[in-house]
Amino acid sequence: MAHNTIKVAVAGVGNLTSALIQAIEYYREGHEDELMHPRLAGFVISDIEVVAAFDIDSRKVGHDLSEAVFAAPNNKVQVVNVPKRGVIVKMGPVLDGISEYTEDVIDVSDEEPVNLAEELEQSGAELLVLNTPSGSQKANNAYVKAALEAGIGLINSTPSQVVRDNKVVREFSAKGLPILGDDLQSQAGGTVFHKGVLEVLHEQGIKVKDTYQLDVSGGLEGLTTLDYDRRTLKRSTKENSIKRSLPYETNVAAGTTDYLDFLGSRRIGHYWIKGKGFLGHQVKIDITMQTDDGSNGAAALVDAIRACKVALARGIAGPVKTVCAHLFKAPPSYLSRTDAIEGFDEFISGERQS
Amino acid sequence: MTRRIKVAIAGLGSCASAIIQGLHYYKDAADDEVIPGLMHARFGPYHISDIDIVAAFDVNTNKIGKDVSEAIFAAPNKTRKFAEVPNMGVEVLPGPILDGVAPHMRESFFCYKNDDDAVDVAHVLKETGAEILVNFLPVGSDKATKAYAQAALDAGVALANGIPSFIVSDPEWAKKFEDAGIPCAGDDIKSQLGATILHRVLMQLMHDRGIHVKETYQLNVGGNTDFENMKQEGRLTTKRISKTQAVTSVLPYDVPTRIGPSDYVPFLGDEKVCYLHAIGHNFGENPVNVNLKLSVQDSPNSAGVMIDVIRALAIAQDRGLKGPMFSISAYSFKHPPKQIPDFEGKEVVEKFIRGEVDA
Repeated sequence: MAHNTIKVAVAGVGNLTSALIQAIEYYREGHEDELMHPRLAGFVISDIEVVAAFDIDSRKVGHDLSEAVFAAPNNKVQVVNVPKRGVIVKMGPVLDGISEYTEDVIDVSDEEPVNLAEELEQSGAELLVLNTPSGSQKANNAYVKAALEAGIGLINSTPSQVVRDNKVVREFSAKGLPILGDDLQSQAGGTVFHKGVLEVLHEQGIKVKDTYQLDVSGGLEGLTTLDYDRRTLKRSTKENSIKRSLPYETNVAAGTTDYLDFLGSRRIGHYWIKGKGFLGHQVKIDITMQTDDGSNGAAALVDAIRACKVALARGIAGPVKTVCAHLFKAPPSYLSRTDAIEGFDEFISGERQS
Repeated sequence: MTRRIKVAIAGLGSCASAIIQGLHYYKDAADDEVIPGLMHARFGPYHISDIDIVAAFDVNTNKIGKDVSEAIFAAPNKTRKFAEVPNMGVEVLPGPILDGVAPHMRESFFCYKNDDDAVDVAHVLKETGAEILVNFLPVGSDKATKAYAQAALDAGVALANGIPSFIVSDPEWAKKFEDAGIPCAGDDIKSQLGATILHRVLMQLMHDRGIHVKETYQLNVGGNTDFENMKQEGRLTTKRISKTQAVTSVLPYDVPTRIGPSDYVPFLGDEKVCYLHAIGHNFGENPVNVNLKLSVQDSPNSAGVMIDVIRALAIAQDRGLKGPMFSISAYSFKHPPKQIPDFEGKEVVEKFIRGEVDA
C-alpha cells in the first residue's frame, strides 16, 4: 500500500503550529509513551504533512516554515531539528488578528495578502487548521470562506464561532466537507483536568459551590487575552465547558488571568474548589499545574487532524459530533467526558458515523 | 491629657467600614492589650477610642444623606459586620466624582448623576473641624485624589493617602504640604498581612540566604469593587508600579517580575486570594521553587494599619511636623517617599512615637 499522507494547511504560525511541526519530526523517531493514539485509523503523526502556512508577521512571512516556527514572538522551546521542506509561509489577512496588546509584539509584514483559496488549491491541502490568536473572528471568517471555496476540510483550534455557526455548518455540509471545532481542548489542559476533578467530586456526592481555575502564561495567547473583550470570549467557552460537567448551577471562573513574558510557553494554572460533603462538611481543594502550552494543544490537534482525514475519506459532511466533543471545548453538542472518549473511539473504528 | 482626633474620610467603602467598625469593636481595649492589626491600643498618647469620624464623602446614592453608621453597610460594601456601630450623627456628603468612578463602575457604585451637586470639600473640612483626611477612593482616581489633597491643603488638614495615586511620594505635592506646614503620610496603604509584605519578606529571605531569584510572580484575585474597578488595565498603571516597586526594591538586581491585581472573581466577595511563585537557584545553580497561597478578608486587612497612621499624623500635628512623615509612610504604605526594610520599619516608627526621629 502506498504511504498515506495527510496534507494540511495552517493559518497562524505560532507556538501551537510550532509544536505541530516539531511533533511531526519528533514522532518519526518513535517516542510513543505520551500519545493518546500512536496510530489512529492507521495514521501515525508523521503521516501529517504541512503543505501550506499563512501568517502576518514579517519574521515568518516569506520564510521557510521550518525556520518560521522558531521566529519571535514564538517562544516554544525547540525539541527537535526540523528540516526544510520547501513550504514558504504566505501572507494572510490581518483584519482583527492583532489586538492593542499584541500590536507592539507583532511586526506586520508589508507583503500583500495572498489569494487564500487559490493557495489552498495549489498546495493540494486536504484540510485547513485555524491556529490564529483568540478573538480573530474576522480573519477566521476569511479563512473559512477560502476553505469552502477550495473544497477542503476545516479544523478550528480557536474560540471563534465556526462550528457553532449554523450558516458555516450548512455550507460545509452542502459541499460534503467535514468541520471540527471550536476551541481546541489540550491534552492535559486546564479545562479537561478541571472537568475531570469536578466529575469525580460529583460521582462521590460532593456538592461543588465555587470553583476557579486561573492560568498565567507567557505565550502570545496570554498577551492577547489581556484585552478584556477577547478574554471574555475565551472565558465563556471555557467556563461553559466546565459548568456542563456538573448537573447543577455552580460558580465558575476559568481562564487566562495574566501574561508573564518570562514564562515562555509555560502555563501555570491555579485551581481552587470549594464544596460540601456528608453532614455539610466543607471540602476545599487547591491544585497547581504546570504545562507547556504549545505541546499541550498540539497533542489534541494531531488527533483532530487524523480524525478529520478519516471523515474526509468516509465523505462525512459537517461537524463530527463525537470528535468535536472529545477534542474541543466548545463543540456543537456536549457529551460527558467519558461518553466523548467512547464515542470518539467508536467513530474512528467505524462503528458510528458521527 | 490628650485631645480627640477628628477624622474625615473620602470614599466610604469596605476599608472605611472596617476602620469605623474597628473603632467601636476595640473602644474599651486596655492600653497594653494586644490587638491584631494595631501596633498599640495606645499609640503614643492616643488610645484607639480617641478617634472621631466627623465627615465622610462618597458618590454612592445608597450612602449619601445617610448616617455613617448605616452607610458603611450599604451596597456594594462587602466588609463582614463584626461590630455594632451606633448612630454617629454624621451624614455622608456627596464628594466630587471626577475620575473616581470608571465608566464600567457607575452602576456598581450607584453613582449620583451630576458633579455639580458635589459639596465644597475644603469648606466641609473647615466647618466640621476635621484635622486629618483619609483618602480611600477607588484605585485610578488620580484627579479626584488631587482634588481632595488640594482641599486638605486649603483647609489645613493632614492627609493619609490610602491609594496608589501618588501625592506623598510625589516631590511636588510633598513640597506643597511642607510649605503649608501640614504633615502627610502615604501612598497606597499596606495590609496587615498582605501580598506585598509577604512577597517582600520572601524576596528578602531568599536574597539573605544567597538564593539567586530567577523569576517571581504575585497574582491577586478578589470579588469586591476594588477588583471590579481594576478590570480596566488603564486604571491599574500606578497600582502596578506601587506594588511592583515595593517588591523589586528588595533585591539589588533585576528579576523578571509580574505583580498585580489579576482578576475579578465575583463569587469571592471580600475574600482576596494571592498566589506567590518564585524560582531561584541555590548552590550549583540547582533549582529552588516556592509556591504560596494567601487567603484573607480584604477590607479589614488594612484598617488597623490606617488607625495607626491616623494617630501618627496626630502626633506629627502635636509636634508641629510638616510634609511627608517618612517613618510611618515606609512602615504602613507600599509606595512611600523612602523605603525602609520591613524589620527596621517597625522600630523606626517606635522611635518616632518616642520622639527620637523627626518625620
